[in-house]
Amino acid sequence: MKRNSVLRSVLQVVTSYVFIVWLAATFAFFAIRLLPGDAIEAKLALSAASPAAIAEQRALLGLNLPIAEQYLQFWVNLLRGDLGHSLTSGLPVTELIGNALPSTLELALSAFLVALITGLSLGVLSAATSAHISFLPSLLTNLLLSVPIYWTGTLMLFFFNAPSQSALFAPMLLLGLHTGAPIARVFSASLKQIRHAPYLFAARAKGLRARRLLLRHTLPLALLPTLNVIGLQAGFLLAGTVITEILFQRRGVGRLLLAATLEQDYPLVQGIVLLAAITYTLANSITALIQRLIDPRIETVS
Amino acid sequence: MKRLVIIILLLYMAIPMTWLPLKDPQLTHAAANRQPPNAVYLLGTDHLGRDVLSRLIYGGQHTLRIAGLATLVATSIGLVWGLGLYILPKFTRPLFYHSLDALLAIPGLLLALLILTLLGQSDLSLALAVGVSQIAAVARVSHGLAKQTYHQEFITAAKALGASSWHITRHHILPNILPPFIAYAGVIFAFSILNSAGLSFLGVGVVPGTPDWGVMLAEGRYAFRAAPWVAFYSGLAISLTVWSINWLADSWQKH
Repeated sequence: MKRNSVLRSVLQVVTSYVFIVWLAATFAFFAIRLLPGDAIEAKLALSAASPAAIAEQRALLGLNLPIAEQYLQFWVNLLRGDLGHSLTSGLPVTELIGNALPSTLELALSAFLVALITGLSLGVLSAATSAHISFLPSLLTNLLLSVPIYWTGTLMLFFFNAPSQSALFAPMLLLGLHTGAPIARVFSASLKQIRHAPYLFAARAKGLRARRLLLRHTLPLALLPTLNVIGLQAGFLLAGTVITEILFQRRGVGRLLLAATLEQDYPLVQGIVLLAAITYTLANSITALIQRLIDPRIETVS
Repeated sequence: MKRLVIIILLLYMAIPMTWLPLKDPQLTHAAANRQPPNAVYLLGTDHLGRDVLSRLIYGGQHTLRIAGLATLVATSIGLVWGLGLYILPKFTRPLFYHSLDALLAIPGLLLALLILTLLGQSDLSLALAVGVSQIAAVARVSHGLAKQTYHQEFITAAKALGASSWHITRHHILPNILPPFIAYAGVIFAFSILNSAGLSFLGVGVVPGTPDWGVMLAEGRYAFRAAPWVAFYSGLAISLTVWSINWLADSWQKH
């Protein structure tokens, strides 16, 4: 009976995962084809190529086919692991993303760790300490929520040495602190809300020590709503690296994305949208699953 | 205090800048470039010798107007979408709900970039881009708020009395979710300021050269060691404004 319900929620999460990724990819496919002009036109217009040459190039890339056919071809290729070729460099999109991904993953994962540590500790400190101390962590949380990341980054660059590809510490700190702030905010809010629950009152009346009360009976429950934000933040990290990568002149998916959009490099943008959608949905599905496993009261989506 | 902050913000967004006794924010002065704050230029000058103080005041209005328009776009469409989920026939709801998720899964920055490329670089398209990229989030939050109200007993009672779902949404759900939704709109306004200035910082938002906080920060960044005040003050202005709006939204929510 119980195993059945676990299996069902896993199945539900997986189906909605596939559905969402399909919708996002479809949206990306149509959205980019709405844009006026493309990289080929831009490139060939500069070299004053004849309309015939432009048409030939477009035909080579299948951009002259009816949109339905293009869409079908897009999925056939996608299922074979082929995301097409970049319009500007001519390299396979998978190769371009593959080259940029390790550097971004390194940044995103380490920043996520920093975000978890700051978020959870700031949250506990601002909710579970006396009023004299707690104003400091909540001030810091609000500060991180209000200060734009591109400003903190600019100030940071003033104190650190010239940006380079290998320097990870400063960008990790920058992205991590800013990603952690919403986590801290939600965590401290749910801690404060739970603190007055009747069951904690009863536990205190029975003589449970303050530390055990906090560690065993308050924190796990407050973590449940916080998991939502953690999942959201994890999902956004991949795209959230854009500004950090530009500030610190790091190679990565974020910079690739900005360049690809500016150059209207359809296949590349499409590939990155797909990657971002997959990460976002994966992060959220994992949190949804964890939440359901921890707390059986959470109803399955209808 | 709260009312005072709101009035100041609204006045600042509305007042014609020419009424204020400020130097021309576009007047360049090659001989006096990159001057640190002094008696003539209270906050110094930038790389073209333009007065940072007057650019800061002009630029704030520019940034806040764009963010305000973006907030209007995001909240109005988002609210209709989020509540519309309750008016639509039941079997279509999962499709609309999942399409929200799909839209959320596309990074807001990418969506904004796409819209900016589609519409071309201008103030209006920046406001639209920032607004549209937040619609899905707003829709999801208003849907969540409506869901809490929807499961209360008076809604069941209204249904039992034969009220249509349009009537329930309009007369029972909407008035109930409006107070928290207004607080959330404040948060969206704060995000809009951060995002529009961020796009300008990347050089794709407001046309470079315009007095605008994001543009000033971008221009000041390259010469940060030589003339740190340009980027410093514009970033400080963004932070203080976003802070006070977040604070307003927070206290409204508690109230």
